[in-house]
Amino acid sequence: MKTHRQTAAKTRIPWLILSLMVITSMLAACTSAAPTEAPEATEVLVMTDEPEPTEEVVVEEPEATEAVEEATEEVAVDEDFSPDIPDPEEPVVVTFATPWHVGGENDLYEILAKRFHEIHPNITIEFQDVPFEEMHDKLLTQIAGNNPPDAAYVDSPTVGEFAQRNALVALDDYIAKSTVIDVDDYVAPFRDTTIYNDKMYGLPIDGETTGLFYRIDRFEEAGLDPTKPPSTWEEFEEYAAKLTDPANKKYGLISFATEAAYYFYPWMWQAGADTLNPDDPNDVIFDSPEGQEAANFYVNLVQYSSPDYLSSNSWDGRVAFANGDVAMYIAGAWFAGTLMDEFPDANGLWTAAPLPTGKAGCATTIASDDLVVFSASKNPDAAFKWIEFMSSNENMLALNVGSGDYINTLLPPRISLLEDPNLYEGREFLKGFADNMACAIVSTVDQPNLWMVEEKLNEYLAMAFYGEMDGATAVIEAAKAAEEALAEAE
Amino acid sequence: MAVTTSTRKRINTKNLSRANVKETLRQMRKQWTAYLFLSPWFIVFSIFTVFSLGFSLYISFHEWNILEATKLFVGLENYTRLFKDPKFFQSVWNTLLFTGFGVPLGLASGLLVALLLNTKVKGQGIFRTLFYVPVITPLVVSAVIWKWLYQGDYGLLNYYLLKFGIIKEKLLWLADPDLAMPALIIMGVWAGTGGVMVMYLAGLQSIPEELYDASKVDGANGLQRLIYITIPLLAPTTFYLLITSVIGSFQSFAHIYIMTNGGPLNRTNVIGYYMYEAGFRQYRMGYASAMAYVLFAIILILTLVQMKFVKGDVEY
Repeated sequence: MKTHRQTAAKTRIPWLILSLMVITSMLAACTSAAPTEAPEATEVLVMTDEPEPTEEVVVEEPEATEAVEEATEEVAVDEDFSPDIPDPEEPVVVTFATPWHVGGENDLYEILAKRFHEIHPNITIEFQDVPFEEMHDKLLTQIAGNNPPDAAYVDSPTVGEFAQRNALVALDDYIAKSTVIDVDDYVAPFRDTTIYNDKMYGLPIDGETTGLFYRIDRFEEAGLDPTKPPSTWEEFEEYAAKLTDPANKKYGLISFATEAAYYFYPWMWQAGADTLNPDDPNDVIFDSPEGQEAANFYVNLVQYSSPDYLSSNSWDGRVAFANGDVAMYIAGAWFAGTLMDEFPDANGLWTAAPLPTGKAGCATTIASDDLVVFSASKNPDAAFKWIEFMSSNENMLALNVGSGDYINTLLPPRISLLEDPNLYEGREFLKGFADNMACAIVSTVDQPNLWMVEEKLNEYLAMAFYGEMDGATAVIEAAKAAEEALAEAE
Repeated sequence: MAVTTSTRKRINTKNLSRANVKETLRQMRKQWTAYLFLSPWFIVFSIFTVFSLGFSLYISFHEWNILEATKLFVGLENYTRLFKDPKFFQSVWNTLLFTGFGVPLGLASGLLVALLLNTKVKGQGIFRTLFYVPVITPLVVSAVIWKWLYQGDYGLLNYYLLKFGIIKEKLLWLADPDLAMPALIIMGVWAGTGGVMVMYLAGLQSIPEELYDASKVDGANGLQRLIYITIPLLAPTTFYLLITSVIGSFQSFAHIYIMTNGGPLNRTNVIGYYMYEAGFRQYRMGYASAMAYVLFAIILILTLVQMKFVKGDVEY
């Protein structure tokens, strides 16, 4: 009897412990299902330092898209846009890598490819689907293996990077023969990012500027007028302070240590500072008094930011804006498309405005994407004809504002299209982003190792975000470290 | 009393003379079908592992940006530069922290669970399965879930810690430079416990029951049996687990990539992640390869040390 009871007790204790362990972990598993509803869970592989420029969006406003469809029908006259470049005599396949192709007969890319094939029966387009976050690494590996696609959609920093390494075809000779590509009609800063050694390596296809998104509901709660977004630095900070209430998980804005440098630039330029000395590409000048002032202001804003997202990035942080925890969010126009697509419940609760301005006037960062042809391509002529086709006015428009199942909130990088008032129908806030292109700043200093400067700036600003130093010290130290790195790389 | 176990056979590696090589070749010819069946794996292994190993050694003496074919010979520059790079030292330190805490904790928790499950507990099979589930869950998936558990405002962990009054203010876990590494270690232990448990269960079942019976006769209590019989006799298993866990831990990448990206402030930037940064973010393939070989050297030295000081053999 005794032994029996003993063994029973012995097995009961571990059983209890084990059950407890399992129950706790199951509790964790079950309840963690709630937060995973937020879409962050599905999007974890973001590693770019810059915000994602585009996002496919499901149609929500049939009126707007119908208008676009009608417009497309009216002007859609397909023809060979470059008769001087002969079509291939044998059937060829042009491979095209893009993150936005989804497949199916309603996919805009499929429709374009089909129409293209009708004009050029010897050219068939084959899509290589690749997630945006992995696009860069995948193309890189493909180039290293001498097996890249014929053409691709890439972001503009990638164009310069690949062009520098002889991986892309210079397009100037092709452009000269094209009837739809007018180099002067491209918005200058977007065009300039594709130029390397005086040659153009990409056709800009979409673009955006950085602006201020804000929550109308949070403004009203805080007694602020949602029709009057902050227009100066002082106002911006004042608003941020009024909108911050950590006890209730409410914050005025959001800062990201991982992207500290990227979102610093507008403030830096607005204060009248710059990254590099125009006369000496090895002279880092953001440690000027203006730069220090901007850095102090910028780092000081962290107190109004949600500390949880400090080590996150502008893609993962979107959830905090969508659920209203964060009232002001500085991001590119892509952000609007993402919100409309993923968080339709928040429609009408937010809007956007140009960034506030500093004492040196307005300034904003821009981002764009381009179509490129790879030098390893066996059919560069056919590949060019395809990217040229996508760049015709009506096709570019469709790719930026959407058509059919595909809607988007980006800006066509072509002056003639931006001047068309119909572009902003149903999405008036985009006008601000377009107007802001006049405030776009693009560095013209030729410094191939600029990334090293940005890396150092990011490193030190991040330390300042975590309170290890103030903003001014961060830019001084970063400038020192960046100059050393540049000297060593020489 | 002498008991022989078959847990580990000693291999005589002293005399691998020419005659032995000849004998091996003869055996290979004799059993050529076996090698035929092995060949697909062997070919894949040669291309994707052996060749890559050699190629990265070659690259580590060159400067190569992966995009161009030109590989500039720079001798030992990549290696000397490594030893002047404070970020590299930080990544080594982070790796040591991650391993130094993660591996012993992982082994201990695995042993604990194995001991509990080695008793005649009700629902043994279910428990074993449940504890093994994290092992077969892709690390990417569990990393995403853990990222949410650790979230400051809405994370479940903070919710319960606050609810039961264990902490007074929310902890930022992954966003706090001082907590990010412990958070990753805890997650690593969770993910590794199941694998360790299975190995220990196998080890426990190979311990002869007579030893326990004999010790009971001698009046040893449970704790004494654990310390004087179970743990020493599990030494071969522990030794194997220690080496494989240390190597695995040194190569950590996926959950760091997903949960912290090496941040905040590089506090979780381990060698595996820094290597990726150097190679695929900054296109310094030579530098990244040099780092890989330094990592290899560190692992080799650690393994040799372990082999020397940790006894894998059991003596009765």
